[in-house]
Amino acid sequence: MTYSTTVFDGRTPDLTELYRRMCVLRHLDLALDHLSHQGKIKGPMHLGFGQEAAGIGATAALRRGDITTATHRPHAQYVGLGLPLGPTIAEMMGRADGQCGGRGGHMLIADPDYGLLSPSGIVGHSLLLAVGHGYSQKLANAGDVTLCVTGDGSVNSGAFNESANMAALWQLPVVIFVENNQYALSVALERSVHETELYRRGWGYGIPGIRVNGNDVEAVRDCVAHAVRRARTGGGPTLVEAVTYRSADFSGADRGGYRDITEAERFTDPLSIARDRLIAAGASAERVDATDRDARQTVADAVAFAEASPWPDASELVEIAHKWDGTRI
Amino acid sequence: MRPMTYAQALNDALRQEMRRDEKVVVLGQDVAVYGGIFGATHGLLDEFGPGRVVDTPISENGMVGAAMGMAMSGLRPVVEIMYSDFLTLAMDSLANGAAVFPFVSRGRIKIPLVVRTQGGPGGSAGPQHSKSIEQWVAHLPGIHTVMPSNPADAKGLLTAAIRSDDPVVMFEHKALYTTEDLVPEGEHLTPLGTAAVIHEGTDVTIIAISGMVRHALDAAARLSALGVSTEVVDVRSLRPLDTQTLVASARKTGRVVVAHETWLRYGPTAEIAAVIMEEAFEDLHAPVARVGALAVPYPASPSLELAVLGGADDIVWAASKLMTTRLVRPQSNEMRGIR
Repeated sequence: MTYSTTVFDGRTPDLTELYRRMCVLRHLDLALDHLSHQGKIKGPMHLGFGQEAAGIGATAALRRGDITTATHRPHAQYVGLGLPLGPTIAEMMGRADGQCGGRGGHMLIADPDYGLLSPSGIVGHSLLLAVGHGYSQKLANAGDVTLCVTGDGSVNSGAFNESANMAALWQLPVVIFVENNQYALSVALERSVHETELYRRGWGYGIPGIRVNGNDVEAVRDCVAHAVRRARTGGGPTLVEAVTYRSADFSGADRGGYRDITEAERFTDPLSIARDRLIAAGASAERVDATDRDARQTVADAVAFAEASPWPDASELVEIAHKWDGTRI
Repeated sequence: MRPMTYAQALNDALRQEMRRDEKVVVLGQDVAVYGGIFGATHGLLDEFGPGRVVDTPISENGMVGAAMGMAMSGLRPVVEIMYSDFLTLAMDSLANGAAVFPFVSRGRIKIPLVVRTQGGPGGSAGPQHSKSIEQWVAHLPGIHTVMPSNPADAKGLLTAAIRSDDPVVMFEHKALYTTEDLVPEGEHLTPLGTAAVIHEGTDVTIIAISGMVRHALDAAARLSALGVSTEVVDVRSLRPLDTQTLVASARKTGRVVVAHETWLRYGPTAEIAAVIMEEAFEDLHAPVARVGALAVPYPASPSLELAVLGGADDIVWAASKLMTTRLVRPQSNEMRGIR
């Protein structure tokens, strides 16, 4: 299977480009938060504030033909893989121009053109699917890899154990990327696990495990790139733990009350880190600000596209239902 | 046509499809070196190698979930789940994955996945190795649920399942693997979503599923000796349900017994009875009768298991009652006030 997309241009994105993608993601989530509060997006909404570097850094090392699996918090993959934002927001609003015509919503945007076969809102699915994708890639022997994005909450699921074992057993070209954002909804990591250094779990399966600062987008890019190279050349799976912090609520339904607000101070905002580094490397503040402004405009244009999109036609669903009920039509 | 057991027919289908399409892979517990606990995958490892015939760890959700991922990325996996009781562990992958992703993606993501498993009582295997949980899967739009009752359909349905771009779960029956019958050689497909009238009659219809089909044929022979002309319909596909064939037979005879091995409540017999009530009510001479199992877990003791199961006796008894109903109330118009 091959994918056509503009984001994989064969070059590894530099910090300027990574910063741009993080700005787009930040503005996308700001816009989605607003749309949710306006009631224009119904249902759960899992935003990625604070985790931009982990998500954007992870997809930076991929090329055309690679596959990415994702979770209920998948916006970083949407932006990182370069999905068009207008349809992406339309999908979250349940409109006809969404990639899935409104059937999937914000957690389930499948777009095979970008190697995104299906994120899933079920914790653990991204691991199970990655084993299957990796197996297909191993048999095809074209050097393609699967980036399996998952979270700290998933490591306690049975799916993690089953998938990590199979990925190691069959030496699959899979990078298990654990975004450790410290919380599974309201439960802090240290209240879910005794061993909080999650990368160490890899070794139990015979999978090299490595921990990276998840708020440093270049560090994430380089760490994942190394794991991707291993996978491409037959070296098997790697477990990368990116340590970050979910500054966002779990979802729009989060009642709060479970976090000490000072704990966020341990983490520097990933966009600030990237911005400071760009300026230290000689970029002008005006240029960096312009990147941010352009990102805001890009998102605003996409929101306008989505708001203009009509509601989907339900008649297709009736036909599908007839097929599965066995009613002749 | 050639005589084959049900297990050999499955093996024949797998071998032919693996020869035909290199994307077909087989995985499951004990399927490779050992050849499957019922022998359905015997010899495949030697012919197709370890890349395409894969022994898996005991990871039911992992196996079905991974196979779903394979199917989404170009392969056509056939997973064997040793007992359908264990399929409960993989319901997440089926209900939240295979049934969902093709729909959500508007068909851009296809999941040509086949899950083969076996269920059914009759082997004193006890309550964790005898269940029929096909209704769990058949409840899900987006997945085909098929149940072959004979070797020819085992080959035909498995072949059709492998070639389908939709996910298919095939429930085989543990008591049928060693049964032998004539099977078409070469390519043989039984279309998914079709029932079959396997014995024609005019007085009463027995609609039977999987292991109950042999009891239905037995009952038909005994009813024939009593002067009752009995039609037997093999459901074969629980979803999509071939409502046309079922309803046509119900309209023809006006009396219907629906027989399945498992519990009645919320199961296929209830569903089929409802369809017949909805579509053939005007032609019924009596309410639809049902035969199934007592609502208890299947006990291990052979004598208790027999007591729990429905069989040919129950079908004959149910059909006889329907015939009696006709004698008491010969005018079908009068029947319409019942229930």
